[in-house]
Amino acid sequence: MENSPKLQCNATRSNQWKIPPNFFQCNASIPKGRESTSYGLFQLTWNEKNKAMRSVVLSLSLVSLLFANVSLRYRFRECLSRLEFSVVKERLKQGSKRVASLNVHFSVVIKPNKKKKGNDSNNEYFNKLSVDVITSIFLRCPVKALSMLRCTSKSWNDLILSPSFARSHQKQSMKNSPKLLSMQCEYSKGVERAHQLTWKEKNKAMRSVVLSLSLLSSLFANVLHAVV
Amino acid sequence: MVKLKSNDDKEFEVEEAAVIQSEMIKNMIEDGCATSVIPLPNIDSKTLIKVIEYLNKHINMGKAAETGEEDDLKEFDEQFVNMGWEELFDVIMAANYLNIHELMELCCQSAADRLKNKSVRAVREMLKITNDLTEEEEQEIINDAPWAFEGPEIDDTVN
Repeated sequence: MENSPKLQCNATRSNQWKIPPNFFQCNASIPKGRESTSYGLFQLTWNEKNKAMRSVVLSLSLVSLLFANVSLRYRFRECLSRLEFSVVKERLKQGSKRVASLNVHFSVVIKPNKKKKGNDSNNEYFNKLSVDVITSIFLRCPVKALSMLRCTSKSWNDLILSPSFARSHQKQSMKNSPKLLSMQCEYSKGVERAHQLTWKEKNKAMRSVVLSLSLLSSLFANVLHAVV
Repeated sequence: MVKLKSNDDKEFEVEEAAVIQSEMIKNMIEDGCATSVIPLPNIDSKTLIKVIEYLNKHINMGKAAETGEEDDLKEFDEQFVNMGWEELFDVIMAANYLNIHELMELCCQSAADRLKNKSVRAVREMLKITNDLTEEEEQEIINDAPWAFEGPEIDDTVN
């Protein structure tokens, strides 16, 4: 928790009935331009004079939760994508002072604020293109380039990883392979890796050559696999 | 002759032999829908001129092999795709819309070749793409295929 970006919430002690305007204070520092999740724990405590107060305290705690919620939402209104509160523990302390406390666990997901003024021309070239067109460009890229292009943006990553694209890419590269022997590694998100060996067979005499080459290359692939 | 009209209301006359390289227009002619002007609402005149230039040059594709003009055509193609990204994408979209297979092939291949050895940063800059991946997601992608991000051929320049 210490490594996560700091988001501190201090619920100040309320004076019995009144909720002061600064009842809920939220101090947060969020790194800009990155999505981050912050976890925190805040404790609401107040004095309990007698048992009759208990229900009042509990309803107050609910109000303060609501308050906290609204306050957080307001502060991060443009970039907040998820805010969860959960009551972890509720207990009644015994002692000279009777204190009811409520531990609340929360996590906030803050997304980088994408809306920048005058930045509407972002993605301008590729936004104009339909998925069909982008696909037909990507189909002509080698696997190495595609692996790197995944890193440019979410939509590209999704497109390149889609099974239908992988299939078409395989077809396309088989069609275009001018080399005698080309080895292709098809990657997928998980650990599974499939490799395919394709070659052009000029004549039947070549066949045995090709077959022995394929054995050699599968050995190669094996070694490559082990390395990767 | 077939008349084509761009989205900025300019008309162009193209020989039928040239224009039928477009599957879309070929079908229109076969169906008898091309008697008057064919409006092309998705294509501006600048792009249409480029496309027509290509169609006119490739009009005798079949003959080129026999007459030894293949090299000439190859050189034309190389010159033809020598244009900016925006223009290239305009032509790709026009080729896609008109369904001109060879032109689509040529331009997409050119785009792919240009992207091929570029670094991620260079691609983003060239095409003005905003990175919406988090650092973790990015790292995950790199971990999937770390070999793709290394190598002397990777070019970080923007052009």
